[in-house]
Amino acid sequence: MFRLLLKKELKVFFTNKGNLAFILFLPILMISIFSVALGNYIKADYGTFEEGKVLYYEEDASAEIMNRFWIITDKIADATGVTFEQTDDYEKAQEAVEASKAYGVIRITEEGFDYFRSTFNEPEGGELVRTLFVQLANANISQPMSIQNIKLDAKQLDSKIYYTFSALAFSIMFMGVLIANSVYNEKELDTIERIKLSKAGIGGMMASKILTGICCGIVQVIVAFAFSNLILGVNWGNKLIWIVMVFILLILFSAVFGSVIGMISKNKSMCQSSVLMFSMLCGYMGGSITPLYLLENMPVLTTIIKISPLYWTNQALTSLYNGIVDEKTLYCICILIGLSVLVSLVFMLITTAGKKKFVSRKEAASV
Amino acid sequence: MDILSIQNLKKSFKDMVAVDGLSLSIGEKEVHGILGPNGAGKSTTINCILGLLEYDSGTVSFEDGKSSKKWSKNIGYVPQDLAIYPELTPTENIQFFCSLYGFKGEELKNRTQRALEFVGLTEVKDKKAGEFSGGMKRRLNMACGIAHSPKLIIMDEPTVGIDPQSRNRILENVRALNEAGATILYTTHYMPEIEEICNKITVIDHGKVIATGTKSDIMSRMGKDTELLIEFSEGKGNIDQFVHQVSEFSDVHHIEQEKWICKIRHPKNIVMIDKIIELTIKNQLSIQNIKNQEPSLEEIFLSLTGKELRDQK
Repeated sequence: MFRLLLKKELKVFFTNKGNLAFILFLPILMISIFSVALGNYIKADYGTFEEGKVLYYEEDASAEIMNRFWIITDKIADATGVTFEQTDDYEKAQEAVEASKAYGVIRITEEGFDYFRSTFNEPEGGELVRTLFVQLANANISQPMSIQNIKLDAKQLDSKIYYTFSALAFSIMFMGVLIANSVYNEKELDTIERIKLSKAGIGGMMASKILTGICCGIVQVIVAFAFSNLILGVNWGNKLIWIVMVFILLILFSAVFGSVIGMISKNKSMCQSSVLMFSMLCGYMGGSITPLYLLENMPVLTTIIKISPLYWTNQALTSLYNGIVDEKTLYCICILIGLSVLVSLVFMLITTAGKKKFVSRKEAASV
Repeated sequence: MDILSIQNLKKSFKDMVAVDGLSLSIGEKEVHGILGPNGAGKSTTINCILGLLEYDSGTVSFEDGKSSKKWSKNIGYVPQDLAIYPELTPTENIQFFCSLYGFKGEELKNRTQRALEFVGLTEVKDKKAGEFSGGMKRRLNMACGIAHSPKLIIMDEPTVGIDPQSRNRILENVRALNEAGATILYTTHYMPEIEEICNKITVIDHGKVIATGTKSDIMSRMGKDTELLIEFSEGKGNIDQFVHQVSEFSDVHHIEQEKWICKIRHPKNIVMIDKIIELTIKNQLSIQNIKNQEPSLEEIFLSLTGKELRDQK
């Protein structure tokens, strides 16, 4: 029975040229547009230490202070490979830091060190170097200073890579709109009445819609994978299965959400606009448009963005792209499964506790 | 034997009572018409019968006292709105809905073929339903509801908004289904359809049954008047005086004159013909045609509910 419903769903879904265009071209379009148009936002390369440099500016520093500076920077350079370059123009050096040409600039004065870094553009490597520098600068001078030999194995993260994942996740969120539409159409066409009367029932119909969404989402992932690999030269790394799993869970959530909204909506525009608004909001707050590192550095937003499932998805995808299965990945998996279950439970509660039967247009009209 | 029995069915939506203690029974192989103006409770009653809507109280039981859930495979539903997928062909539509009742393989193919032939869509079986005319869509809508050979077919205004040919075709199909053994519950706003195909009628209004039975049952119970229609030869005698004199009889409830035709309504049990003939001679009129006619179902409906059926749409 379920196979029949799924077969019909796929047939109806794929005979619609709009749906087909959505599935095949939306990820390509979004990845292309975002990675080009928003390329400048992803200047903060997660570069290796070898490529990083820190500028310093001497300003009436005593020999003692300079000596301490050399000791600290030698240790950091030995440990990380980061180079330290002198500059004679502090303002230009600050501009270079803002433009991601350097991790930071250290102003050396008689009173000590002043480390300048970009508030929004500091890369992970730069953050680590700054932490080391501050720790060493604050250490007791009489005690021998030592730091661990740290190697950062992070890959270069540019806009193409960032938006391959985040724009794909965003376009997958829009799958919810198609599923909501598809569910609402069953009500509008009154075909839902015939399905209700049969053995399949509402549960079977909704499950088939969700599975259709998952199938379509997988097609989107394949399309994005091929496009990013062949055209943009993005290597998805060695955690491909994990990445696909995160995407499938995201599709599951968006399809469950879409189908529930489709069932409870009283009119088509409400159905479409609510899922669309939700997807847009998730996309914006989840770093699918504005990069996450920018959002994370904005007051208030830094907390709010965490309610977006796309925030966790993009966090997980960045880690997985770097070959790391960390707590971010596990959080993401738990959150997406949890949200899908929660939305389903809320729907079941509405239908059972409220004894509400989701009536068709005609029934509603008769009321 | 009753195939469907409804006892004291009640259904309210907040403060509005949609069905108010409705009782109804439908016998096997009956074509049962339900008449009622908009808001009378027809659709709500059908949804309660189908189990699509929970009702407040009362019982709806099918053959052998079964509930709609247990008996649903025996029910075919032809909704008023087109419950078909426009993206799919008639074959795909029928196959899908029929397969929901567990049919597959050759059996499914044969049933689909038979349903297509029955509604006359074999020639367009591979075209998308979205490209069809209104009448063809209605026929497909019917085919989707009957392909699994249900014992009871519920048709909710299946001929709304279609051309006369398609309507005739659908009515022929209804008759053929009935002859093949199906019981049919039919709602419509078109009185001639009810008169043409139904052998039992239930009139409902405000969620209550106002009258039920065969057409003649209802007429004999409700229609106390009869109408005498007289057509006079043109230009002979004084028709105005005739009308005036007839209207003075106390037993005449209504007289209507249109040129040389007169309609005289009087109680069935009063013999008027002698007096009429007498006045005809007196006024030197010449009768060309005279007949006694029963009030139409529409007139009975009007007298029962105080509402015109066709005005409701």
